[in-house]
Amino acid sequence: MKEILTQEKSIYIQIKELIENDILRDVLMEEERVPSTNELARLYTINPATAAKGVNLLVDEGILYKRRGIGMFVAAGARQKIMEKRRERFYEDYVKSLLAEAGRLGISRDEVIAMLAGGADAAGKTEGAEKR
Amino acid sequence: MSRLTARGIGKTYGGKQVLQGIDLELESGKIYGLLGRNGAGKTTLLSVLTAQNPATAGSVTFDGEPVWENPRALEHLCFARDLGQMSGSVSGLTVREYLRIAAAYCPRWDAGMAARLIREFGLELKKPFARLSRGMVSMVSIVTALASGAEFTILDEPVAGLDVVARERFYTLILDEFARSGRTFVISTHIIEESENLFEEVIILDQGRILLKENTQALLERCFHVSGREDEVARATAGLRVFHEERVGRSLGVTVLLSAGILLLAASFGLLDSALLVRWQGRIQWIVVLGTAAVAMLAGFALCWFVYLPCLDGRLSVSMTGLQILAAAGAGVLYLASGILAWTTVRNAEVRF
Repeated sequence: MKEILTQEKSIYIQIKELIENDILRDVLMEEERVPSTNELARLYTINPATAAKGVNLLVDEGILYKRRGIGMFVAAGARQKIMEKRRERFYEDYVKSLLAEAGRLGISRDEVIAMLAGGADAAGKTEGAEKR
Repeated sequence: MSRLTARGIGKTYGGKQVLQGIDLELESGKIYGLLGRNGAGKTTLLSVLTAQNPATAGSVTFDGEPVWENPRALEHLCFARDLGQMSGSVSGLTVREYLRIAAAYCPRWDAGMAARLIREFGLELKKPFARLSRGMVSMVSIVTALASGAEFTILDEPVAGLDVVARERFYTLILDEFARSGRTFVISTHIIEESENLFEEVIILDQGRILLKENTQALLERCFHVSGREDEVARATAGLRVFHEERVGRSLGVTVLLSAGILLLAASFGLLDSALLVRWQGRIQWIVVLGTAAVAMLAGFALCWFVYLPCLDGRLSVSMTGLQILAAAGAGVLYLASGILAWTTVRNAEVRF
């Protein structure tokens, strides 16, 4: 799960998204224990309080849940929840910036649509690629 | 929960003011970063906090007890100095002798941990300080700090001279010990890029004064870098204090700090577009001032109308118009006071270098 943290975004948001990504990619399965905040802190050399902030956001969203004295676990249906949430944000996060860049480069809407139609087949291959 | 508290600390060395009006409260169970330029007073502050250096003014207390020559307080404090800076006083000692002295001063000394770290770092106990490399000297400080077992452990420039692998190892050692014991660490450093995420809070010292003490992530969240075409950037950041500026041809990049209040306000309205936030910070300051003043004015009127007037009713023979003028005057005073208050609150939320 170790990936490089960037300076672009708050660290705890990145921790939250890394856990989400691992759930989406079946690295973390539902009802499985996720790394503790101390383990996350050590892995990314970050303060445990920051790691806890990211984890707690996922608890608030019902994606993780706490078992007293044992740790954090992936909730049933977490994968579905993350997919729905990200689908809602897909336009804001990806399409908008895509269209903005196309506008700057003078790529027409039709050309973008054509690229999308062509690219849809290759989409499966870029599975591991992270955005930005 | 223990606290190490400094109140009004001042320190002068032969007429030169090194520290000035330092108020600082350190809580247990946190990792603090102390940042500042060379000569900002970091080492002096740390040595005053741990009673290794008398303050010219002010007091340092541990859970309410003064720390100066107080063994009950001092047993909870360890100051691992940057030994590279004081080679004169330790150069004759061997590593073994130095650690033996350190152990004598730390009642909670963990000899097992010290031995483990010495082995891991490959430190030669028989070597005198004069023959140690810069990195090795730092390692002795790190061993001292970790093995001291002190509830408040302060490290001054612990990574100076360490290579990148050793620095990484140092950060995980601190995190491991923090996870195990919950001890408080205060770490001064110049290598901010690597260590910023290690710190729950950062303390920035500038010319002997505390510039800010804030949660690291919260501080980073209100810090924005705005770049683009010069005029557009200038327009977007108008009214904001610029902390760093880079110009190349027509392009301009500036770093600005938004106030925490603005971010909170924006977040509560679900407004999280950074560009928009930066653009509005300058104006929002005025909106906050005028808004608060308007609320105060209404409150003043309401107060006079519903509370003050009924009280006076029948007892004073002042005409209603007179009372209305009175109400307006009262509201005006409130208006001014709260406006000024709101303005200073918003202004103070920004850091001034």
